Amino acid sequence: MTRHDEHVRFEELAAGHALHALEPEDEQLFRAHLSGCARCERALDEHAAALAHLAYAPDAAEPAPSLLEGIRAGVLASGREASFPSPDVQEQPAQLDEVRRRRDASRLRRAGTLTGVAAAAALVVSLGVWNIGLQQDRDAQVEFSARMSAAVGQLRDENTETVPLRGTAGEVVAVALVRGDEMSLVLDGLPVNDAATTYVVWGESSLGDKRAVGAFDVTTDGLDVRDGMRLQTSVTDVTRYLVTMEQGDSAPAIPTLPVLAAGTV
Amino acid sequence: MTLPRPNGATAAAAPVAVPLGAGYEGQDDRALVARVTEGDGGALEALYARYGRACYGLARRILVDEQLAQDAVQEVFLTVWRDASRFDASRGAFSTWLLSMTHHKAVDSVRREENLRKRRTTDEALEVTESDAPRVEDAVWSLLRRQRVREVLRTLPEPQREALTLAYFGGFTQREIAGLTSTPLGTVKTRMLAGMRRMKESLDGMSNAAGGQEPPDPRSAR
Repeated sequence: MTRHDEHVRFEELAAGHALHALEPEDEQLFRAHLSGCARCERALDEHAAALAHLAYAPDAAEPAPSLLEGIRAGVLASGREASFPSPDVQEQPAQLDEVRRRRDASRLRRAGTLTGVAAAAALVVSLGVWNIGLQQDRDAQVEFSARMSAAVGQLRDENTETVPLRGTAGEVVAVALVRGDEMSLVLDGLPVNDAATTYVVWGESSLGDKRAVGAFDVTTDGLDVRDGMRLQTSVTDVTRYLVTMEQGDSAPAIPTLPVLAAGTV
Repeated sequence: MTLPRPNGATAAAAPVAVPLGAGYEGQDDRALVARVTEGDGGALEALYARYGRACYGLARRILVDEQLAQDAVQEVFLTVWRDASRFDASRGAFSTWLLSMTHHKAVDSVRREENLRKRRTTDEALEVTESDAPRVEDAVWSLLRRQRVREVLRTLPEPQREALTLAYFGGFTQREIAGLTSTPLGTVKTRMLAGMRRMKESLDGMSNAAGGQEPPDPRSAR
């Protein structure tokens, strides 16, 4: 076995180490090797950076307030002198046990903020650039960029409403961005439709009336945006948006096929 | 026609005495870590405001248990509090170190809890059941960021993706993955390395396209 072949073995172990997936004997072997190998140390840093991206693959989750309380309690119990900007923390040092007890009874709570939308806009900027790099066709890149930019503009507008549309399994497959009577859809998860069909997004009133907002095709499995749709004035109090897949290339007068996704305003 | 505004959908959060991370907005992670080493609890809270959600999301995904996930993340941030000097900025970003530590704690925890070994596998490992309806902002944020990372995963050959997701999100060891997939251990190791390399190449390309910068974490703006 050459030195190169020998080192490939440690490169494999480096990947397993970064994933915390090594068996104890391999872990021991790799650690012994690592102390003198700059190449493996560099590889580990690169693996860790790549995996930090992967950490964002799961859905975002809001921790219960008791998590922060527990951290504060742990800090105060650590014996180190700690300064906090909030006087509440100093005056009410929660006990770890008490925090854990409350956690058991707590449910996830969410607090709305405006910054989430602005932050989403910043994210779309990065995503737009990101996805452009994946596209092969230059014209498509330009067109995709323009649609993404429009979506960013809408997200940054505080008058834009965002309505997640969920599929039948509860997953978010699109987000409607509504500003006045204009609507765009950020798509991610609706299946690509064929030429004989078209997707239609509907606005439903509190009385159950449904009017087509727009028809669109899904041409990619990945993130995409459909813009330029307009709400009809005949529906004055939209309470829900629905998506159906209809036969033909335009919207019928009323939905004729089952609802594939829906979101409440 | 004007659409009705949803109640509370974009309403500001209820006022609090001191917003989490207030006063530290302009400071980068390294500066905050330095302040933590000096005993600044507010700096630790600022780091939590930036990354607590990501850490919790990862831990919850691995542990499939909110309580255990909270314990793991709490332990991580208390480790930062006790020993922030362990962070070596020359080896990568603070978020990389923090998320790696979170992953490690969560995997250790899941291996201790045998009843959690009934974990989802491969693509299922990425699916999360929402216990509450998410904020609409969260839905947008999740949709876009998740899509970005999953796009990279989708480019991997299935065997490599399977090996990576079983290890990273399932917390399985290489030998366990070999057993689960009826694949020789050596092949699992090779797939894991190949998958890591391909993922890194894809991420490198994307990072360059974004100007060489890691896209901003929206939560850091809070």
